[in-house]
Amino acid sequence: MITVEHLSKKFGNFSVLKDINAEIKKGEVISIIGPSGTGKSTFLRCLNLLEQPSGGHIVIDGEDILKKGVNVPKLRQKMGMVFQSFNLYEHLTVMGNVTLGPIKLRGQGKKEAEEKAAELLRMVGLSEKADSYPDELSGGQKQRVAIARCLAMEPEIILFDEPTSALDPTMISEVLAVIRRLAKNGMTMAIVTHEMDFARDVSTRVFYMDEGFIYEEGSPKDIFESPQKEKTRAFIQRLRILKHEIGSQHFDLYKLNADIEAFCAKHTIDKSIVGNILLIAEETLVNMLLPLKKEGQIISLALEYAEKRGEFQMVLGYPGEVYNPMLDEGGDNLALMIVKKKTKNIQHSYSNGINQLLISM
Amino acid sequence: MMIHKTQSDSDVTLALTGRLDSVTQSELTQELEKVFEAKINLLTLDLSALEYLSSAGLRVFLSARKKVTQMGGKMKIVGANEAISEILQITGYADITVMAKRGKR
Ligand SMILES: Nc1ncnc2c1ncn2[C@@H]1O[C@H](COP(=O)(O)OP(=O)(O)OP(=O)(O)O)[C@@H](O)[C@H]1O
Ligand SMILES: [Mg+2]
Repeated sequence: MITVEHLSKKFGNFSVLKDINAEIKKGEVISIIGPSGTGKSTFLRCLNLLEQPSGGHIVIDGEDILKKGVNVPKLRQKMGMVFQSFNLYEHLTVMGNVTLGPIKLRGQGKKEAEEKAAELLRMVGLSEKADSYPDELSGGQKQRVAIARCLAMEPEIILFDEPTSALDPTMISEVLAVIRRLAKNGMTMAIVTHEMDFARDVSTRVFYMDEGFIYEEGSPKDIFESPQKEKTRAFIQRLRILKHEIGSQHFDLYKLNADIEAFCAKHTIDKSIVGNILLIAEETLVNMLLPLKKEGQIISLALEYAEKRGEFQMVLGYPGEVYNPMLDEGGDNLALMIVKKKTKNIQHSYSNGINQLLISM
Repeated sequence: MMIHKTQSDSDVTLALTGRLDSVTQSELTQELEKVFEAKINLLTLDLSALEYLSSAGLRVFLSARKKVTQMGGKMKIVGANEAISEILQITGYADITVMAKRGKR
């Protein structure tokens, strides 16, 4: 339905969209996610020519809309847009807002437009508000009116730009419920959102935008469960990483501790958790791995904090023969018992001469 | 780590402050060697101000307990905070020593 090729957009010398390539098929629900300022809104605004793209092609139903002589108002009717800030006409009633476009732009009769509007207002759960003015409505209600207004134009696709970002948490769900219903009815939609759970279960595909590109795209499962690229991963999991390498035989435990403590302080990690991390680092390194380390070998320690899930992983890499210290019952076992007690799960793997322990806490 | 020693006759109390780990365990080992130069009836390790304990410290506790028992005395650990008690329990120390909780710091 929509094919975007090499789309670019500059504001002055500032390149916001560098090279966007995408295809949106009929019936698809595309969630567009990504850090702030990466051009998500600009991308949507380029799609319906609220911004004039600097280059590339946008082909809708076989027609390149960036060619000269395109009927822009007609094109806009194919694409509804719902904004974060509702953009209702304050001087018109709810009914007036919903019927304005069909009457003015589509030449519908008042009666026909009102019948259709009443149906749409019922669909968004606002039948009894038809005669209210926008300032008598809650944010969630205003946004549902905006959606009804958009549907009244019978668009082929609706572009949503953070439709729930201006709403209180209590009102977010009522708006998302309406969008979910549209998705179920097969409406084609592109939704810029920060509601990850919503994006995950409503969309057919997810675009992760970063650096002026669609940096990674895939099914919600792909993007949310196994993102392939590092930036996507970091964004999805809000991953924070500390890396530390131990090269010399004279390991400085307190330097490592200081690094871990600083890292945890930066992310306001609870003190008891910090204690556990320090303990696991000491037990695994001092009692399990360092005694086997040969001159010149390097042991690496990475601490990953998935802020979203509040989970920690410690990843230890060490060269040498295949060795999983968690299976080594030699010695007094004290270190092993402590580590087992303080962790959730430990996995060992080995490839290219490097052992890896993945410790989940 | 700081070690504060109090003694009356053959009862010795060592109050530990800070971290007992693979770096500091030798300080406690040395202090205990001095303590064991005389016969000990009761050795109390006061952990009220101990913030961190790893297996390196546990090993010192274990060997101290052995030494005291050989002398016909007893060892007890008091005042461990929650996290440290948990470590003592993991490794069975809670069973083999008399624990008296002194409340958290
Ligand atoms: N009209 C404009 N003139 C100049 N710069 C602009 C204009 N519109 C957007 N920008 C800049 O382009 C960049 C991308 O903005 P955009 O609003 O598309 O980001 P976004 O991904 O939607 O961010 P957010 O998640 O915060 O809404 C920003 O750095 C912004 O300051
Ligand atoms: Mg935006």
